Amino acid sequence: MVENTKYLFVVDSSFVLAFLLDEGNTEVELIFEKHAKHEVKFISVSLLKYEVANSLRTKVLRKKISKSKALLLYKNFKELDIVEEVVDYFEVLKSAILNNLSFYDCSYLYLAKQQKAKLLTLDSALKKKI
Amino acid sequence: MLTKRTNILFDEQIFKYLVALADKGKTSVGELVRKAVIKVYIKPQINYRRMTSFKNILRLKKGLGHTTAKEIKQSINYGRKY
Repeated sequence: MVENTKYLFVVDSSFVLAFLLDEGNTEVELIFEKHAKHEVKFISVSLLKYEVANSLRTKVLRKKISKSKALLLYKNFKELDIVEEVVDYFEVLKSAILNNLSFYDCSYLYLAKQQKAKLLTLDSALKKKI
Repeated sequence: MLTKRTNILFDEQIFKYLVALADKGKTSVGELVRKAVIKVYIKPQINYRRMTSFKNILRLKKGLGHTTAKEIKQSINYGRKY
């Protein structure tokens, strides 16, 4: 079901990771606060939980954050209740080829188009395709 | 899926009111009760959990400093490779 697009946002991993890892990014924090207060709704694709976990793992391996902090960040990220939506992977592939995007990036973009929602991303290349 | 059944006792006045309300909304008393339960007991719990997680993340990332969008993208792409 297509929801009220004014309040519905698709978030990609770059946006979520900016909230989890970038201290003092008030712009990103503000919109996450709205999500926490139910003033806006975040949705994403199943890929999000893998990408967020993988990036946290990389940060631990590079000794940028401790293992315990990474685990706690991930636990709290999961409890933010970002709703996971299913996309048509065949259509995502078609769109990825057409837009010269990776299948990963395109899945976020495709969901945003499907739900008529704004895509929140820090990825400049992906922003250009919106 | 609705699989659990329970019996609820109401005052006659409240029950009459609920029946009228259900008729007006073309729904059932059971549906009204289910909606009320979610509103009173479930939603506040979810709201509390979300807000707690939001605050926990702000606390946890204290001291991590600034991470650029480029660094974030690099770590995502690294994860996509391995």
